[in-house]
Amino acid sequence: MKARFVAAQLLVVLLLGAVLYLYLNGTLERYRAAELAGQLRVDAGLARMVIVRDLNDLHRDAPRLAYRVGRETRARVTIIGPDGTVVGDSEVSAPGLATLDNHGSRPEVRAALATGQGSAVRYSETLKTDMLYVAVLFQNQAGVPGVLRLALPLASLEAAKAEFRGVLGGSLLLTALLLAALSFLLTRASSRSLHAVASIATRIGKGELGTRVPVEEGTGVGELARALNDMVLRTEEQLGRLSAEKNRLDTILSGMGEGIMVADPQGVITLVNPAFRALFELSDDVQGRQLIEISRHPGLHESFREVVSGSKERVEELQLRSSKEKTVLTHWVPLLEAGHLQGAVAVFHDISDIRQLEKVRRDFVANVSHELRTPVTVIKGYAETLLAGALESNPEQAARFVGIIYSHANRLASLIADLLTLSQLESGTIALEARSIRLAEVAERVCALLEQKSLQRKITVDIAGLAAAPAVLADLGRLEQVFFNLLDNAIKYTPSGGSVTLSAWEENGRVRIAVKDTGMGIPARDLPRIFERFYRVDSARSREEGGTGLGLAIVKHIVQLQGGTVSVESSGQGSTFYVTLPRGQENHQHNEVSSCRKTI
Amino acid sequence: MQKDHLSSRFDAEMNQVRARLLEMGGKVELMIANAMKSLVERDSALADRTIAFDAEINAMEIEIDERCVHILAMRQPAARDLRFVTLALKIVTDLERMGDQCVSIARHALILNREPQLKPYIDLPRMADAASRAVRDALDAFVTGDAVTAVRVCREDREIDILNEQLQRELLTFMMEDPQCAGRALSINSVSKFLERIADHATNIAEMVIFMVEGRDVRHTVL
Repeated sequence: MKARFVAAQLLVVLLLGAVLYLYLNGTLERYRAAELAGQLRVDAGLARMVIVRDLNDLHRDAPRLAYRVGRETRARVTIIGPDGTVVGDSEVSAPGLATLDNHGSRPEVRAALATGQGSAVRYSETLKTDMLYVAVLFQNQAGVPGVLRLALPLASLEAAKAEFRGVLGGSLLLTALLLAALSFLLTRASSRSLHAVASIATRIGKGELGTRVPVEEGTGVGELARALNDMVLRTEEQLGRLSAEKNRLDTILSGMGEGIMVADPQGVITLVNPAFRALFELSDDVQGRQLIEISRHPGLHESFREVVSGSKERVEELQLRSSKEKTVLTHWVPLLEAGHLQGAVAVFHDISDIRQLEKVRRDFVANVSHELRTPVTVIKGYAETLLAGALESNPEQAARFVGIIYSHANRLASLIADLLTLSQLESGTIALEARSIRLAEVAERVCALLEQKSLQRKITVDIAGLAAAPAVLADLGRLEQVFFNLLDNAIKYTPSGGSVTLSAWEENGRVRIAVKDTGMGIPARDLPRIFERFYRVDSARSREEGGTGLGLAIVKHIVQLQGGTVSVESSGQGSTFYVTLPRGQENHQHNEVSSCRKTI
Repeated sequence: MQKDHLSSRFDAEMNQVRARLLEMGGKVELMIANAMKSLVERDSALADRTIAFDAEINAMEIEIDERCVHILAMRQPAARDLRFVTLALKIVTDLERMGDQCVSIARHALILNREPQLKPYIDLPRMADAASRAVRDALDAFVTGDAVTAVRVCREDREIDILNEQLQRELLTFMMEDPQCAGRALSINSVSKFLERIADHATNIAEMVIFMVEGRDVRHTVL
């Protein structure tokens, strides 16, 4: 840049010099030649006078006269006869004249013969230099015509020209050098500050926004620096605002439980949040990929197309099948910018749990009515038969019918009792009095209650594992119910000759109780739902055994109310139900109770 | 300039074929799930819907076919692009066949749902899971160009074959015990076979993905 600037200046100077040289050189040459020619012409005029006076015989007097005139004028003087032969020459002695060729054809001689006067500049073979020739016609007193020619070498002109060239060239060179040095110094001074500004601007461009340009007052660069500083300051402010905005948005997006996805009109994903990744079980980066590559769910693409083509909002429920089935409520909004469609935003809300709950509630109502109707129908049917006359006609049968009615009334009663218990547990109206309880005591009492049943079925109940167990913190009555339900179940579903083993141990500061049977086990697909109300693996069998279908639901609710957890494991060789309860500690009894309540 | 324009349009056309193919895959996955749901949950209405849904799959087959032929005729793709287009033509056939198998399953579901359940469906849902997983994995492998997954799909096809054979043996014992249930047993047997075939089609797709990614033809070889 700098070099080019200097070079351009030099070029201008040189060009100027060249034009000046060409013009002055030409003018000088012209003036000089004209001056010389004028002088020579004057000389020639004077010489003619001498020759006209003194030349009597062309051949006899000419050499002498030529010599004399030549000596005076310091020019080469040639006298030429009318036929063109040289008759006298100041530089050639008389005998040598014969060797000279005829001068009649020389342009200046021809001109002189024709008009009386002529001049020419020519390279002289004789003297090996540029010569100025001036020729005049004369006539001596005898009337013999001839041509007198004066010649001067142009060497003096050449010398003058050389001197002029020298002066001009020298001054030009000096000017050029001076200019180069000056402009170099000046541009270096200004470019140094420009450089400084440029390097700082580069650093700012790279993101070092804290950098400021030092301002030199009163210069153009100083103004530039000030403008740059202002610009950086504003950019910094704007960037700060933008990044704060982006951070806030990022935080909101990543904190949201709903999955969010933004896609452009071509279906390329431009933004997703962590919840979306979790919902679609994506591990790698999805931005910039096609929506179809993320999920092939047909409904998803239909919604997307509808939103993009119609630019209208859309709410839809989708069933996603990833590792487990999910119900997702999707809310599609077209992304409009200044009236132009920029894509679509979708919010995905996982409503599987809500749907599941709704289903449970629906099933519960259906189940309750079904469970209640069955015994009522039976009671009603047998009572009608009795009323129709069976009471009198067949007392033996009647007694059996009454027995059936009684057993179903019992079933109804226990069902209603269980439902009541459950609703109390759920509403939290049951007051639980938590205290330290030895598990072995509870188990013994429950075993006594179930002794007859287990003896009938030849099932051994082993509670030895509870003898050394730590105490638990629970409500005694409810814990008994938990044990009763679990043991009752275990005895019911264990074939005769099997065994039920109870054990308990401390785990992570809590007490874990295991009820293990050697029954038929529970199919894996039923395991997650086994604690649901009225959920039965084999409904016919369960009812046959006199179950209400609420036992395990009650167990779950009681345990959860006391801050515990329930779980189940099962294989072909039997099932194990686990109950985890807080460990009993006399001192912390009441605190534990309150904490139990909190976890509900 | 003109050339750039042409090539970008070509890319857009290829991408469209890809997107439509994946969408069709998604619909087939849904169809498999629905066909099996109609059988396991004895939902005859869903079976009817599944049978009707096949029309969409068929329409998509024709559409994708036309797109591919159009590309072949107008653009004369070479090398990778040619491989992709021929692959798409084949995958589309496999997907359409899967749709047909689903229709057959739904038809059998309609028959089976009219009669009492012969036995709890345990192996069939497992086979259906394996088959739809194979389809999903094969298509995922196609999307990501993941030859490892594709090879796994080919290998896991064996498991489905084994399940199929196991089910056939079991059904045979049912039929020998009670000839009355032979009809239902045969229906279940057919469903099992259809599932096995769906898995075979998924394996075909996986093999083509391996060809697309690694350029080696693994058809009719043991992986």
